[in-house]
Amino acid sequence: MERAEQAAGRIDYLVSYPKSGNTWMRILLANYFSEKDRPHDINDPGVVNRIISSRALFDDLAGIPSTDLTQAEIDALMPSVLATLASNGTERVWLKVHDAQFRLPNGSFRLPPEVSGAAVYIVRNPLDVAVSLAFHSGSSIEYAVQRLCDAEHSMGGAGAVHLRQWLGSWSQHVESWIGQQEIPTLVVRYEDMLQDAAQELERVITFARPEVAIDHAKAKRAVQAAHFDKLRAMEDRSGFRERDARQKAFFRSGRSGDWQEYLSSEQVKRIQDHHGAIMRNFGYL
Amino acid sequence: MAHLPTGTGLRHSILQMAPAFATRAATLKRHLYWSNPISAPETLQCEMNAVEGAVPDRLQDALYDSGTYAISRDEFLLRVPNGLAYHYSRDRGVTYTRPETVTDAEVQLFLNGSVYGAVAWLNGFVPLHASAIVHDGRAYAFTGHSGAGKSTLAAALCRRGFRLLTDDVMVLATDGDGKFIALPGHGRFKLWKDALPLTDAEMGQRVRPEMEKFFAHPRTGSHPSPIPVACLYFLDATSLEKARTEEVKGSQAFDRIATALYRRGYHSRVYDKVQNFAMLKKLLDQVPLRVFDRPFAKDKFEQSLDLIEAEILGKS
Repeated sequence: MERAEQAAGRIDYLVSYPKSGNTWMRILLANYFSEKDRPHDINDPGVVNRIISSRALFDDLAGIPSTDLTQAEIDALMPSVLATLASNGTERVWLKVHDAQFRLPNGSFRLPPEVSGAAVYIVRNPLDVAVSLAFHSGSSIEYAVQRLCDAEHSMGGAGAVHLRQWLGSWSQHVESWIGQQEIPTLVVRYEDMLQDAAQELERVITFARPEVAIDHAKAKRAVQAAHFDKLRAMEDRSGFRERDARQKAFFRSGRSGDWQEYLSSEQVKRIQDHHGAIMRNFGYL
Repeated sequence: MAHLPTGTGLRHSILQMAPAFATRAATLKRHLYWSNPISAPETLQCEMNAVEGAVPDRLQDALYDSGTYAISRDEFLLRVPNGLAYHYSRDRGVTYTRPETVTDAEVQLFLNGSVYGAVAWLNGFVPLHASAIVHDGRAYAFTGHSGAGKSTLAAALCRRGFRLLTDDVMVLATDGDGKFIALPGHGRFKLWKDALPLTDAEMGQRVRPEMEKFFAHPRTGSHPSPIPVACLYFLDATSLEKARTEEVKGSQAFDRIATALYRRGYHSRVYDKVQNFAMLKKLLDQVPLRVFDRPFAKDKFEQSLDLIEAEILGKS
């Protein structure tokens, strides 16, 4: 199995385009590393308990409120904010990331390799992402398809709850992470998680935490605790903090292949035309 | 910029006005951060005097330097990426320097935000990240991270007739009985342009030339004097359809109150764990905490406002 042996820094990233399985992997990791007997509560912090677009995280570390800074200033400060995070304490830190990796005007990466450890990039068939995105944000399927193909797409920023997360198009997003060498990156396919979640979870831990001896029974228990039906039941019972205000439920279907039911043939073609090369790479075409 | 006299003259006159405080302050002067917060809104006003002048590159005795800010027991340095920089030194007030392109509004923006918070901590006050309105002589405060909707909510309540106490930073001092009292802020809001229609605040200057965010003034005016805190609400946005409020209790209260401090980064450098615990405990003992969880959608805004207004007025 792959190991991120050249990992230099202390910040690890769990990265994906939105609606690609990031939350599921985060809950799997939370359960694996949980010291409690019962399943991890979806609203409790786990090992990946912060998102890089959190204003609170940025504001505390920068000491200046992000809401009083311009986008260019926030981006320019991000490397030093992450360096500050990396220098606080001694534990390794996991961050959830939806941002594409990119270089700032001064040439340095926005998420600086010097303070970064490993990245785990979760990729999912963009046809299914489109459907999930539409349900998640309460938008039309058409709008979601446009977002996936929009080279300028970003979320948050200005008066929004989160810092701006620049995504670009789906292909740009994938390439920005798998096309760089500076932060060791493991790619996990959502569809492989559906096939054998325990195996993918073990791959992630082996890669990002090579010092951890894998406990197969623990991985199996984590998968059971993070079973889709259980997560949905937990959300029904006590809600889920990360649900978008426009969305009925965060845990909606979790399946692969939903696109066949919701996308028009024109929409399918448009996504394939835009993202064919990358889709072929991952066996989606 | 408004320019108040600094130095020993004014300080001396304040001390003469309050001899009991003067003795205590003199004893504790060099070690304010070791003690429980002491009162005297005047102290903060005095320390916040700002003049344009030379700002050092670094602090001699910095306990911490993040690049954007540095803090020691008596000094604070803030470096805004646009070249604006502030230096606070206890007893000497604030000095700032700026490139020609930086506007007066921008100087005020960071002075009344980050610098204000740091100066408060260094003088034994407890600044919270909160906006507050006044009812029946008591403060109803709303806390949440930047972007959580504190200012919009407070400004909308002012549209319904309440008076503003403070926006964004609420500094707590203690009165003669050791009780926390909230100090009046700067008499205005900072609001994003799209939030202005939810309020009837009078739009003022743009806070920064590149941003769609403005200073805005409540038409109901602002409250001028320190008052006790009736309730601190934590703003959540997990509720889908209907707003609700709920008391925060137990260990949750401890976790929550720590998030309300205005820049955990600042105070954790000057307070050790014991002092921090004592300060949080005192806050928990004195300030009732509630969650105000409401849908973030604009079409549900008035409905949420109805609920919180009724609760403040004691009608719910």
